Amino acid sequence: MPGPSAGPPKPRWRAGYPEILTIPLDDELVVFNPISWETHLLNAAGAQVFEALLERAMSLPELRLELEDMRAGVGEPVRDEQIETLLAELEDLGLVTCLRSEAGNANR
Amino acid sequence: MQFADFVDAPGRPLVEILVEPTKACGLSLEDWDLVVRIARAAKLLATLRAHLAAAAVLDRVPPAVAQAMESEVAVARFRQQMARLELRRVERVLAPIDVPIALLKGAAYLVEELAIAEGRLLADVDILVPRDRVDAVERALVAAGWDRPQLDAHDERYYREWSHEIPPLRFPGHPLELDVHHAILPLTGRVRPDEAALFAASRASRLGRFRVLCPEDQVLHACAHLFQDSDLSNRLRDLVDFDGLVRELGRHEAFWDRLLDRSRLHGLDRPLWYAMRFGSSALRTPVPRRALDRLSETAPSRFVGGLMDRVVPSALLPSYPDRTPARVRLSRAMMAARYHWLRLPPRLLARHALGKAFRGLKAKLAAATPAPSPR
Amino acid sequence: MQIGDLDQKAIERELRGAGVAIDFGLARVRVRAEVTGFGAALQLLYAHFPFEHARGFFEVSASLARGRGLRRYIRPQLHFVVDGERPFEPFPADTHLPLFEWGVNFCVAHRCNHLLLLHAGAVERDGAGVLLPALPGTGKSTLTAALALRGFRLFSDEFGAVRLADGAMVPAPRPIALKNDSIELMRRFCSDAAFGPTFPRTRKGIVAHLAPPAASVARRHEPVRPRLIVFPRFARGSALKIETITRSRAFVKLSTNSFNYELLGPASFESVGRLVQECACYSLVYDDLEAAVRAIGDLVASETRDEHSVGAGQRLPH
Repeated sequence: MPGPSAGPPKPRWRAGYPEILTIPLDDELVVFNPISWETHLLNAAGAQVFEALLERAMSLPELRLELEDMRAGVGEPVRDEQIETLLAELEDLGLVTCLRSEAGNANR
Repeated sequence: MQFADFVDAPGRPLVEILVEPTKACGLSLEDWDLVVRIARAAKLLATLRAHLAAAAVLDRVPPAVAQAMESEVAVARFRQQMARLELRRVERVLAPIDVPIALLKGAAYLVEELAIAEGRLLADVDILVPRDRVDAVERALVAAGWDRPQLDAHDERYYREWSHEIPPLRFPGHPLELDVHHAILPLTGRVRPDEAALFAASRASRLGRFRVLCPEDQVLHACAHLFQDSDLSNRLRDLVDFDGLVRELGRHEAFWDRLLDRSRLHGLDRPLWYAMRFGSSALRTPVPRRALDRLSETAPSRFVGGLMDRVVPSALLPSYPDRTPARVRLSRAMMAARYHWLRLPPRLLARHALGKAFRGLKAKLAAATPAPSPR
Repeated sequence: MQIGDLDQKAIERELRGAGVAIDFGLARVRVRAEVTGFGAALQLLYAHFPFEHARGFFEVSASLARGRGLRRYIRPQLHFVVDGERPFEPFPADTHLPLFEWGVNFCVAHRCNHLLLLHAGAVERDGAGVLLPALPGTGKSTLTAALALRGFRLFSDEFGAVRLADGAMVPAPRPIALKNDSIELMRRFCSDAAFGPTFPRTRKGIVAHLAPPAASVARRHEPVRPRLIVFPRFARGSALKIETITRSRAFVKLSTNSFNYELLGPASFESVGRLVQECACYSLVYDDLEAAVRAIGDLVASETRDEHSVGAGQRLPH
């Protein structure tokens, strides 16, 4: 959790709708959105981000740490801009929501 | 009056099972074949399944029949899901506009999770807005991407001046149409319900900013929709709606007094009387005696009532799957005439009929002389 | 007694009376017709189906009805009527069988949504179900016909029907409609293939139907577990090419080659997911039918060889 010197609280992201259905297919993920009844295919990077956010809500730095852990030193380090792009796409698809209004509740 | 007396045999088993689902246990495969075909034609197959499930006799249905019902339920569920999607989209688009929006009919039943929503095959999504806001609403929807049908000048004027709804809108690729109403009965009709009162008595729904009519008005709308604004042809499902609404919303004594008061306010006594009469005789709708008595002053004359008693059952029920007997065709023709009579006062009726005939002739002439097609 | 055993008068009588019943596994059809020639076509193409009196429950009760008024006699038309509705434009009266087949397809697509319906050929061999999803007009029916004529059990050339509860493929063996060049191609491929009449002037050109093999008809109530999904593509002049495809790609292709993926929502999502997890998925590009059939046979063999716990005799619930 951010300490007293972490600056203003960061917005957190969460995978929307607990009833979202997912099926892992190799390192990709198909996702069924029960609100829109649309199906989405997430590539490996998108799948990792999404599955992380299904576990719990995370801010961008937390997500980067999580993805670094998953990467375990293999391949290129994950850049913030890449994560932001992915999050924006996922948000567009209605698969994740940004908890901007709860930015102050860092301990939730 | 026994409803079943006037109905050709094929329609009867369906009505019987809807009313008493346990009767389904005695059906042979041949019986089921007819019931399923008729129920499907009446758009009541998934509803029938819901009735059987509620009576816990679904396991007595032969597997092939159960599968046919499951298929229909899948279609019903899909349309309901699409309706919810459409409503969410409408809510987003109309958010900046300050206008009360009431859900009507199937959309309302779905959102309020009424029993009659189960198994319902929605054809469209109906909403009601005040007449002075309908242009703004239409503009916003069209600007946001809904398609509007291309109409000729006559049909445009019909919608503008006579109808109670704007031409149906459709969001591209969406299976359901959006019907924006500004009244619940045609503007030119003989009965003009009080729209302001509809909104005044409306209440918040379970979905966002959408409102629903108060229970009494929902029941009255169902009556008006069937007996004032339709030709009754193959419309058993609308009577089933009325029956279901009354059973779910009309459990308390006070409901009936309020219902009759509202009916008087809106001028809908006659359609209500018909709904109560045919509902109670066909579907055993629980209508208190005193409610019928109170309405008896506005009941139709013995001649009209007797005629309706004879004609409504044959018109309302789906007929034989493979043929339509002359009596049914006659009943439906009579109810179609009645529908036009109720909808348009005489001078407009003549103008509308002439307009349609003329356009029909024009279309025939155009079809006979094909224009050269560009290559 | 089979439909092919009846004499022509008898079948005409049934068609004008209570109707002819055809149980093709996935569904039962009762058909009545007031046009001559249809009975003879039925006898050729549904020869191996048991003759049953038209009683009981039918998924589809249809009739081929003559046009009204002038169109009864002048360039006579035939309508497909099902439960009082005429869902599409009439056909010329001499294209009765294609109209019937098209109508039944229409009804299946609308009334069998208790199953996942893939737009696919479907066959079986050695206890392994094979799905061949492909878009219309890409040669799927021709390939499926070839497989059926080379010892694969025919399930369908049009509907890959999959049960939602257990993922089993449901048979629906019916005549396979072949068009234009494919007709001659199939005659050369199998000289004693049982063809029905040729209809020279349909909307899609020349159409003829191949009767489903007797063995496929006999086993029309035996579902099977799908083991192989092959996405076929005919490419003239191309060498045979088989490639594995990723499960995610197979998922996307299956969901787009489906009649009711959108309709079924979460149920089809789970069903397609299970299909790509339990089946080996390939794409196949071919020019030569014989080679394509052999390749698919080889793929089946490698699937069934690897499976020891499931023998060819595994029974699935009907």
